[in-house]
Amino acid sequence: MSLVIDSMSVWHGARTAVQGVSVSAPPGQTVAVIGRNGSGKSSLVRAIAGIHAGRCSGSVVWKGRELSTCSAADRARCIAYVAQRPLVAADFTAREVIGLAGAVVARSTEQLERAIDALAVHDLMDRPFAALSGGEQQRVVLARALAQHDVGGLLVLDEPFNAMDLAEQHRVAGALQCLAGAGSLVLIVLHDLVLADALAHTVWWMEAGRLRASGPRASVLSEAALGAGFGVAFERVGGSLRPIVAPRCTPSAG
Amino acid sequence: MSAGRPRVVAWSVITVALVVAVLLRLVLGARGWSWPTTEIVDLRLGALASAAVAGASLGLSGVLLQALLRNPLASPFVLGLSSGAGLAVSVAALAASWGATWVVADGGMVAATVGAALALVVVVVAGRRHGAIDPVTLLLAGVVVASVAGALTVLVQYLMPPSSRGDLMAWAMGRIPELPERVPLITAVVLLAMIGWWSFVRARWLDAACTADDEAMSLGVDLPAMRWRLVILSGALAGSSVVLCGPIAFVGFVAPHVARLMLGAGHRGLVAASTILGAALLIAADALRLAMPLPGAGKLPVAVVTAILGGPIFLWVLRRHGGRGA
Repeated sequence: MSLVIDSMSVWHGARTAVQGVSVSAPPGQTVAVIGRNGSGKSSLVRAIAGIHAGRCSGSVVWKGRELSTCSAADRARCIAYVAQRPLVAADFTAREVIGLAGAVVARSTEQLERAIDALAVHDLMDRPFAALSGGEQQRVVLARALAQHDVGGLLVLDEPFNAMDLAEQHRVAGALQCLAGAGSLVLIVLHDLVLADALAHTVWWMEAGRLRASGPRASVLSEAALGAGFGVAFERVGGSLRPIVAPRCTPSAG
Repeated sequence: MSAGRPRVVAWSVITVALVVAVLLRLVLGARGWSWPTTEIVDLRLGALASAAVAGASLGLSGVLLQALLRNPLASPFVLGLSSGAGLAVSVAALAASWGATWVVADGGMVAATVGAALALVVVVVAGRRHGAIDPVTLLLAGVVVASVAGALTVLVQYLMPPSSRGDLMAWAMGRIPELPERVPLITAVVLLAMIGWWSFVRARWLDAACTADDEAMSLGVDLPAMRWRLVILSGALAGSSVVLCGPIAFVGFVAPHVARLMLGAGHRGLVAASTILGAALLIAADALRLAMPLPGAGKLPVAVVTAILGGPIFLWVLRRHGGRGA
């Protein structure tokens, strides 16, 4: 029982954002979706979540169920999603934003409390969402997604670590690893390859709308492959205990 | 929602405001202050019912439009819905004067709803830039639609037979009827009750619709279907208020704002409070125009009173939000 994407294509007007992507992943994993800007990462995960803006073809099957035939409410019961740039056009407090998890799909108080605990947003709860820093807003929106998410379900996150400091990143990464350990499938769009290397079991590498590579982290995130794909030299730092993949900084000429 | 806010106090103030407005209108008539005798009590109750239903419809229409467009400046009047409905009703009245009486068999309700919905569709289409609704463009489109519809309404008035022209002109300036026609009043009450109930039941969906499109859909809201419903329902409410009392400015804008200041942004409270405050505001505006006749000019049309009161509040909100979402 897993996520199976078959021949997924997405068009924004005349432009093809994703072209014929077929890939799958089992539950209980964290999948990092990487690639350069404009490579189709966000379009792919939005299509998987059923919220693509453009035209879309192909199928997404989650645990044997074709998602494109589901109603929006049914999809919300199995997929929680966090956008790249969260928007709340109302004077809601953080508590109210997290409460939106149960706006359409019934969610228990315990689920909300668990999400608040997991991301340690207690001290933000009664503050206006608009007055929070970018990283705090991102944590609150993640808490909303966690509150919506049932363990064993699918969590789709589009660059969730944007604007977060290291401590926040650490806490969120821990929460996501726990979810994957409990049987959820966590799909994360990431630009930060260090985080991808630390978090992901599997990596999907998008390039020009197509899947350039997919597979276990160690095989996809090799220095040679990354160097060829990103045009930057990479090296592993820290030995074999926790290898870190990082671009090697070289002084530029001139 | 809105934990920590004194909701009991807010609801008490809203209730008191409605009661005070109702009492004021009951003791005010065309000849100033007087206790309603049995001869005139029906007239005052008729005016009260018309103002309450039209004001409540405008308040609810305003809160639905603000949720639809994620813009605190949206209202039936600012976006040209009231003017569109006014034009459609004027055209229907003109057609009726030429013999096509069937177009006003329902009191002009269908014409008003179609006019309001068409105006909203034009504004939303013209207010989009790069595929997304742009608040400033949207407002400008609303101003243009309201101006063009207003000018065409004047043209229709010129084409009307002189015998019915005065009545149409008085209605076009906003008039609370003391003897409202039964069909439009009952239709407006039924519409208000049904749409009010739907809005209350779907209040949490309206909350979710305040997030970005993709987030709202991921929360389970069928956004395209919901948007169409909001266009039709807010158009029907604006249309029914126009049929009853003519185009009235700013009630549909001020009521949701006052409600939001008192109760916070959650739509469960906002829907109910905006509806009640819309009724209280229009009843109070009608009482105010009766209490303070202009020397030499007599009683002002009620739309002038609401515009004088609502205009400064609109400018304050525009300055506070810069036309962006709340």
